[in-house]
Amino acid sequence: MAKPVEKEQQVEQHDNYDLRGTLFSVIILAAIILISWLGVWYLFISR
Amino acid sequence: MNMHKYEKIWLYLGSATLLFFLIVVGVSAFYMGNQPPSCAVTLDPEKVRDHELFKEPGLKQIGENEYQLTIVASAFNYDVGTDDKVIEVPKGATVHISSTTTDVIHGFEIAGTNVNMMLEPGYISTLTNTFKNAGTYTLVCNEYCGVGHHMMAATIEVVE
Repeated sequence: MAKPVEKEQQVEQHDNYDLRGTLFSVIILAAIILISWLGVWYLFISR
Repeated sequence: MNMHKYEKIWLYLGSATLLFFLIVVGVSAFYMGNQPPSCAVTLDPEKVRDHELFKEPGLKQIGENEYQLTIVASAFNYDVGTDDKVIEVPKGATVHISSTTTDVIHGFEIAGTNVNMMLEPGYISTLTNTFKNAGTYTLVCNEYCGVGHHMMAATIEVVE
C-alpha cells in the first residue's frame, strides 16, 4: 500500500489582499443606508 | 484570528450600528415609554357603543391645547361625531387619538402625518400626535376591509 503523501497546508495571508475596492464599496453602501435613514428620520420629525 | 485591517473596520462599523439601534429601541421603550398603538387594551367588539370612551365619538378639549379624539370605525365609515366627517384641530394642538372597530380590521392613517395605526376588533388603538403644520389632511383606511374600502375616509383640518 502506498503511503499517503504529506503536503504542507497553505496558510492564507489576508494581509496580502488588496481590499481597497471592497472597503470603498462598503463605505458607499453605508453612506446610502445612512442618507436614506436620515431622510426618513427628517420626515418623521418634521411632520 | 488572522484578519485584514479593512475587514476589521467594516465589522466594527456593523457591530456599532447594531448596538446603537438596540440602545435606541431600549431607551424608546423603557425610558420614554413608547408602546405600539394597540397595547393589549381590550373591549368587547360587539358592545363598542356601550363603552365609556366610545359613547360619543368626536373631538373633546381636555386641557390647554390638548384634545381627546375618539373615532369608531366600521365597514365602511369613520364615526367622528359630525355628519360631514370633518374634524377641526387647532395648529400645534396635542391630540390623543383613541379608536376601535366594530367589525373587521381597518387601517387608520392620517396621510401626511405620523398617525398610522391598525384597528383590530376587540382592541383599543391609541396614539398621541401634535399637529405642527396647518392644512387639510385625510384620514384613510389602509387595510383592505371590503368592497367599500376606498370610500372609507374622513377629513382633519388643522387651522391656524
